[in-house]
Amino acid sequence: MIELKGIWYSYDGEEVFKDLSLRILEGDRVVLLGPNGAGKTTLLKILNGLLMPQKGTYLYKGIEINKKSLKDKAINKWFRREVVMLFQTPDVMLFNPTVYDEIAFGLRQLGEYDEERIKEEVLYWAEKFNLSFLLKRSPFELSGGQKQKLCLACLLVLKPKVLLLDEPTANLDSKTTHWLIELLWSMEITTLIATNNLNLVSELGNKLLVLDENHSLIYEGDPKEFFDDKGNLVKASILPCINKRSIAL
Amino acid sequence: MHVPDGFIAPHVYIPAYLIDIGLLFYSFDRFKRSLAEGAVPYLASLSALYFILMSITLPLPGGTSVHAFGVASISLLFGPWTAFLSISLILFLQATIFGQGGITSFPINSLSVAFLGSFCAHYTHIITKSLLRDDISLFLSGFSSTLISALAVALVLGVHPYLFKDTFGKPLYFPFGFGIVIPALLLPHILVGIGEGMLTLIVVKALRNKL
Amino acid sequence: MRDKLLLLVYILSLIYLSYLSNISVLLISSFFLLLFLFFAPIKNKLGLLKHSLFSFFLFSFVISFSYLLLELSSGNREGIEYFLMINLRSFGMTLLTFLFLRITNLYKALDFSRTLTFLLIIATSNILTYKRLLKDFRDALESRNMGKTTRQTSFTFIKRLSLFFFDKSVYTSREVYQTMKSRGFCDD
Repeated sequence: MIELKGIWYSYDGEEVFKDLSLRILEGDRVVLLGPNGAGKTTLLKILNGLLMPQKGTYLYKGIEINKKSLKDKAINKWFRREVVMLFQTPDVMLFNPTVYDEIAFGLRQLGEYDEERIKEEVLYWAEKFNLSFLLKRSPFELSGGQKQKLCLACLLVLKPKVLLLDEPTANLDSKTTHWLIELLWSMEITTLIATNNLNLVSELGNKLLVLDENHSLIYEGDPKEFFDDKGNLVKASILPCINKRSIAL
Repeated sequence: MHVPDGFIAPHVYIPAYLIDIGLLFYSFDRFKRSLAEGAVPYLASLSALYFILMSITLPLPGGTSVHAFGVASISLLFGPWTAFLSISLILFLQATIFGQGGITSFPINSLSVAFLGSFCAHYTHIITKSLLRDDISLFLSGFSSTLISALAVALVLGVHPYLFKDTFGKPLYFPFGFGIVIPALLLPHILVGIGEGMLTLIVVKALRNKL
Repeated sequence: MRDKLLLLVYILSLIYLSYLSNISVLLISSFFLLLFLFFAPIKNKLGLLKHSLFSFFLFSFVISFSYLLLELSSGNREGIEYFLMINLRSFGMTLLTFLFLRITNLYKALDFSRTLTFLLIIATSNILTYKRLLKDFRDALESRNMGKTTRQTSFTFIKRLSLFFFDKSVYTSREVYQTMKSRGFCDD
């Protein structure tokens, strides 16, 4: 479904990805693990067509995604509807005057539904995410967890095929975290979740990608096998130094 | 306005620096006295807010878009002296830390964009707010402050070929006189002014209840 | 002390360069600056040179080249001298400034006023944080708007930006003030 072939990406003269390749199949539940600064967000933004690699190709369902193809209105609309991204700071995604308008925004941009139908969809997702009583409020007045839910509702209302999530659990309490995990598993959708929370990896997905400090993809496969070999964790600079010693012992 | 070094004569930028530094000291002193505490972090935050405003692009009728200055918004919200101070701080950081050059044009920009622009917006608003609708008054404040700033820069640049030339009459610094530089700067700044007017309208209306 | 001394040398050299209009003297000055660049203990020299060239070139070239064309079209060949002189001076002053900024710590050079240094440092760090956030705001909009940004969306978006960054500014300034106080710096 998603294929990166030999991606090179540099930012401000600094190389982030050198010859990175990966494949994500339909229905995969991928967890992207790596320390801070490993390039997780950059990778998600590349997959969301927001950052363009200098070299290499990005194929989504066999269609090449690049600056030129995204200029095509039909491709842009199709791609942006199918591949959506939840940003790490929910604030940056919210800009409409009310929660209702925020959820309706994507559908209105699509221009395929009339207001009656849009209302139905908005009410459905608001109900599902327990946001119904907030519909007339301004999105900025919500709590952190509510903002996160609202952002998800804004994305899921489009019925996307791929959901990219950047540290979705970073600002959530454990109750909401588990609500989110259950929600994600209950949907038929391909997910790629960036996180540095080791404890959640096996709950979040069934396939693991690991980026190390040098932005190299050092592991691609089953999460359990990765954790069975403790040396992997040190290699990925995921464990703090103190644990390196305990592993050595 | 990014005028690189070499085009402005030392006879112009040195006095401009002296005047600018004097005004900045005066306004910082005023600013500190007006606050109970925390002047430095407040000013730094305001400057960063201004930095965001000047990074915003506005869509104009006809499909083009422009970068506005953001000067009038800051001036109408926080007063012209504070605006002058925080905008100058950003201009200084741009010329130094962010490496966008033009260290000799800094005082010219600080005086014409930050000082004149802020005061023009402030007084335009005071004069027009009782005569015109609020929206129009806000728009005009932004528009006029941009044009005044552009005109001031044009005058400073345009005076060079008359004052500084060699024995054969060739220019030594900026080469074009008023006849060329005034229309060359003012015409494009009409568009920027429209953008600035719209930005002022949106930002001031959004924020003034919060102050 | 080193940084303050360098600041003084920089200011004097900058004023000196800005007075120059003799092409040969300007050429020699540029040569010395390039020599200095070559031997200076700094990284990425080519990058610095490119940065200096780019930052003055566009404006300088447009102005001096149109002046040159104007002069040539009226039969004046001296226009070429002006063209060389102004570009050399602009290049020299720009390179000098970038060299100075690279080899000194500007905050240290200006720390005769503690308030000014703190102001510059805090403002810079705020700006860098804000810049990253602004980029995220723009990316999120691009990700959500499906290639269609209407004027209404732009205006709502700008309104949101100003509100968000205003709140953030108020919050950050309070936060930084408390940190400064707890670390013993008081500007009142």
